[in-house]
Amino acid sequence: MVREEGMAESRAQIERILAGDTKAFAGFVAQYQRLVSHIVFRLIDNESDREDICQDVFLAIYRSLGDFRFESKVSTWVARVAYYRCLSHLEKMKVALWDDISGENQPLDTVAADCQKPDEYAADRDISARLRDEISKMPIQYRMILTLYHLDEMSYNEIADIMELPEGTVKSYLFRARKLLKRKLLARYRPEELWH
Amino acid sequence: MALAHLSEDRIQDYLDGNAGPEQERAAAHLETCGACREAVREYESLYLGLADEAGFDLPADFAASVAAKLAPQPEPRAWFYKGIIAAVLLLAGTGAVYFFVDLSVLFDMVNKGLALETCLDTAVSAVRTFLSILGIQTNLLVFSGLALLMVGLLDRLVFAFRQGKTLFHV
Repeated sequence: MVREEGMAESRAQIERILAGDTKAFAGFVAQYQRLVSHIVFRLIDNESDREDICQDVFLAIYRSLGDFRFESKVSTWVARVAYYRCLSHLEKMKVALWDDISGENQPLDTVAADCQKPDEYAADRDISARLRDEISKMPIQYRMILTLYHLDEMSYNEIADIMELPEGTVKSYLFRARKLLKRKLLARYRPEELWH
Repeated sequence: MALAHLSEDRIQDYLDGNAGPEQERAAAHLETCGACREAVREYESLYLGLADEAGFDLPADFAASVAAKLAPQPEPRAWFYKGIIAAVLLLAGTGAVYFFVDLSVLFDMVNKGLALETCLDTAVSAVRTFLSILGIQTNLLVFSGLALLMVGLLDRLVFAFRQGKTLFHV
């Protein structure tokens, strides 16, 4: 019932936007800008491009709003537009999108060996920043899944729908991404720095 | 019987609440196994870090600035042409009325305070005279009007295409 009410509200909102109500569109942007910024900021490393891409995402959504058939949640659709807009931008920038995934069978034990020793990071107390840095080095799909799952609290099913991947693959990538991050952080920080 | 240590996948399933029937067994194991509790604690901290939203802020006026990009902008060229067309029509209309209609009759009637009915009759007959004079070139006028309409429509279509909008939202 709640979902139907939410869907009815979304329909009414989109109808107002299609009728030319720019305030309704501003409300739409305000409602979904957090989701879009999570995706764009996490997938696009170049800070100066991020805000423009967020704008492009919403303008693309506005142009195709009339084609939205409510076959999925609006948030799922918005996230999909943002994801593919980022992929398109990264392709233009000639950023390798899929290469790293092919190395996913590399034993996780070798990850720690690539990292610097804890002493070298003793002065760096900003673990959140270090975590963001490590995430930025991961394959695009890992970054996207971590973002949607942990920041936007989406289910495997929704993420699979957005990224057009099997649900099992989403779960597998998510688990592997977390394992990688945990190992990398433990290789750089002492456990008591991280977990206390 | 004590369970073997929880695998990392099982720990993640447990923390995600997706362990299904294993959820309770995993919880029971954690009560007795310090090593697994420590591993769970590491993942819990990682989950907290992953949910940290720092660094994702857009400007406070972001929504308004995106919406402002949609507001129909008056096209300077369109207003310029509309102004010229209105001025030309006004001048042409005024000139035509002075040229074809004897306004002195109307002024006389107003000055003499004649009945409204008489004024209307006189006005209608004046318009009829005006139309009969124009009737000689009616086809030419209709053709010119249609040609102008087509040019205007084409101009609007090209402009709409360039702006990426529909014809009626230019």
